[in-house]
Amino acid sequence: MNKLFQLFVRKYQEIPQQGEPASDKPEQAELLSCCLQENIDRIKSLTGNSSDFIVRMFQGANGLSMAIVYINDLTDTAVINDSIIKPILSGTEADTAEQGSLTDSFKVTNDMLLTVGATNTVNKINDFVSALYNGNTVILAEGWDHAISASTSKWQMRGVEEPSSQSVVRGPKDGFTENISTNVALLRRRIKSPNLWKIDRKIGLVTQTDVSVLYLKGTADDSVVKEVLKRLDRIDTDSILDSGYIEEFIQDQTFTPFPTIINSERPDSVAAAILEGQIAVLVDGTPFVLVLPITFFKFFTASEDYYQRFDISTFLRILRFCAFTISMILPSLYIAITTFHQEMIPSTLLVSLAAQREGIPFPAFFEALLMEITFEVLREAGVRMPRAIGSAISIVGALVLGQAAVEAGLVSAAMVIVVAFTAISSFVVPMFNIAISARLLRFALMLLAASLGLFGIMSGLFFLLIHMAALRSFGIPYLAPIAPFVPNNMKDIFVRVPWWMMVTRPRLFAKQNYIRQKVNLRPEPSDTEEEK
Amino acid sequence: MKVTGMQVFWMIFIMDLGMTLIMTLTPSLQAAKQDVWISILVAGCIILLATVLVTNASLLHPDQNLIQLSQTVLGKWIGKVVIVIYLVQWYTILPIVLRQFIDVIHTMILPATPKAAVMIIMLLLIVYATYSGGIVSIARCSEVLGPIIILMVILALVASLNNADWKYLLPVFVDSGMMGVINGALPPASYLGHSVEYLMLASFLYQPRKGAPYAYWGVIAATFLVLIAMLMATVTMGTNLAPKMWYPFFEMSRKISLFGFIENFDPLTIVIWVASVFIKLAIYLFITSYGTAQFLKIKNWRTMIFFIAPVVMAFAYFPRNVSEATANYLLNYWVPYALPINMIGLPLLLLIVGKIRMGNT
Repeated sequence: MNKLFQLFVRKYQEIPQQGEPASDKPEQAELLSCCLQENIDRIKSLTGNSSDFIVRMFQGANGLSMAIVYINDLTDTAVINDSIIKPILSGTEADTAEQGSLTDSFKVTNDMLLTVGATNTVNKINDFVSALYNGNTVILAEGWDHAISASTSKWQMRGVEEPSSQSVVRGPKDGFTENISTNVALLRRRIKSPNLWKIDRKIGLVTQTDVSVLYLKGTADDSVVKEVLKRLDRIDTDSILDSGYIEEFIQDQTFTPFPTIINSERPDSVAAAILEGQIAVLVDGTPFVLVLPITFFKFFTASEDYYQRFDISTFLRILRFCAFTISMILPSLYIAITTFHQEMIPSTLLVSLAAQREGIPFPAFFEALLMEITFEVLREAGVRMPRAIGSAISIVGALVLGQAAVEAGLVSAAMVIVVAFTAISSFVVPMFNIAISARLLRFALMLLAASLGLFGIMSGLFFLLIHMAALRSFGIPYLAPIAPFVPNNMKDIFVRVPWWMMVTRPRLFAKQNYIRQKVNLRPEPSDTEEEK
Repeated sequence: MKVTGMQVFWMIFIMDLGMTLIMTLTPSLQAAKQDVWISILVAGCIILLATVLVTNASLLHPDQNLIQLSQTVLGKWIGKVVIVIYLVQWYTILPIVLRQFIDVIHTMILPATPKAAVMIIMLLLIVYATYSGGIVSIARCSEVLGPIIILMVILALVASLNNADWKYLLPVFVDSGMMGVINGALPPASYLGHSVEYLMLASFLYQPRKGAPYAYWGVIAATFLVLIAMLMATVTMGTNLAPKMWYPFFEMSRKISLFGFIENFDPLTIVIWVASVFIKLAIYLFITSYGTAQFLKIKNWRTMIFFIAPVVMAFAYFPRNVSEATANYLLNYWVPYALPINMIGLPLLLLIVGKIRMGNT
């Protein structure tokens, strides 16, 4: 299957290779010239004379003609005025005293005049342009063969808000934003350790998107870090607009219903993952951070599990596994039992079910398919529709499709209950992308149940089991720590033990330095209290 | 391809448990009647002995599997004869187990579904399991399914407790006598004897030298559960009715009725059945393909799967009815030949010759 697909892909991949790729290789190496006007002309022609490119020319220190270039919407005009233009123009006296050569004037401008935080020297056209796009202001002068880029970036960004996809009752309420530096800051605020290492990449020939890999040096598995970087470096595409692009480029297996990388909007859960030796991949422009490697069971942990008491967390953990199973197999179970194995239903229930199904024209499978598809349509409509007409849709959905369909005798009430419960169960799983796989698998299982009953469902589940047993996420078996069994990791799978018992980090991810805390941390009342 | 000791435990446990639970109950009950539990104990002891032989034989050359081991120990030609004897066992057990599986599914839950459909689905599953990751995939599947199977067996047993009539166990030993007990012990012993496949599995262990306890525990756990299950089947069904049934354990779970709304527990038994047969067939398919490929010096053992699977399917149609598939094979090949030769005789031969050769060098 995979090989076939690769053949297919290769056929199509050859097409762009014949033509020139999107990158302009000769231009990259091109250097700035000494002539000011020539440089400005070149930039202008390169950007098609776009109107947001501002070029401001003036006479700087000792009559040197200078220019600053910036993009209007990406920069802070106040900083440019106060920290760049003003010092250069008023710095004349300092310069007349020196009367030095061109290199001196460059040094003086850079070291003594500019009052912005970070400056950089650029001498290639390519760097020049990318500095501009990062919101820097570039200072040129007649006779310089290099330019100063000063960081003046400022643009409108969504602030740190509560994450919309993974909300909690108790726990931190901040979420990642679209700005990668804010996101890194949110993680650094939580892990104040020099061991939190960050490796940057720029991916996407056209979009030049910043991608950062964050991990805890000494805890994370170095070979996995290397593997992630290798896979990131392999990506050669024009654009990265969301971490979803990266995920599809670096995941282990494409043809699987199960995601092998987690995405999270919550800084606390990503920080927790990093502390356990996992690796975070941050992508500029999206609040969804990738966490890898993972196992199947990681999808059922919510960050709140660790903030609440352990007993309720354990209960909720098990509830989630049940809900996931229900959301996957309940409709098919209903089909199998009502069509093949009626003897399993208690007689009183069987009578009432039979009475309900009396007037239904469809076999149970079509009835279930009809309702499931209706629900999927409703759900998709709920996501896409404008907020204002939400109530109208819910009335149509609830009243017309639910109640009226039953009253009209199109579907049985029991089926509506089954579909509704299935739908609600699928929202219990904290990670959205694993719930989606259950959503798709449900249909396949329904088909199997309709043709082979319980045996069909079982063979479908076995098929999934075999598939998951062979699946890996960056070298970690997907079903670990159940298969292969790792007893050390079991304390945080079906049960969440109290914090003082979590002495070691999960050894699946943390290959080294896996001691998390001291052994005897069990809280006990002190003797003095007892005496009272 | 490497497996852990725990995985070997689960594989041997599942191979031994599921089939024994459902297939060998009737012949044992016919022979030993209410003393069937003594028979199981005897059977467990026989098989534990066989497992000791097998594990010790594999310790002669821990990094070699049966195919290599028998040739290094017994020499090229005698070794090949031994391998052929084992290949006969593997090539016959695969279609028979498949056939028995389909018969159970056919009689118990899907009487109207064509047998070929069920057969093809099961074959596809085991081919996929074997092909996707070899023994590693199968081992991981058994690690997941093993606890589920135990849970299901225990549930079925606990739920049957209120149907039990302990008087059925009396009188002890007097009715059947020594011969009855021994005769009753042989069918379960031969089915529990799948632990002989440890000879093929051991070389895949991370630490082949430390694998033996896992094999022992696999056999002990399976024997223990079979013992309890047979005891329960005897006391719920009675010694008059049970020997006449094809699948007493199934029937026992059908009798379950709790709180007025939990009835017909047979889905539990079906889960046990399908899961254990799936694991068993997958292990045998792997062993057979791997062993045949190694025997015939074929480099890619995975290609063998696609020859063996159709052969298995065709052979599965050979028995004309349920009784041929279940009883004839069991009583005419498995008990008189496979049990004494493949499970005890040949491992003993390997062990003795191997020890003598080791002493000489």
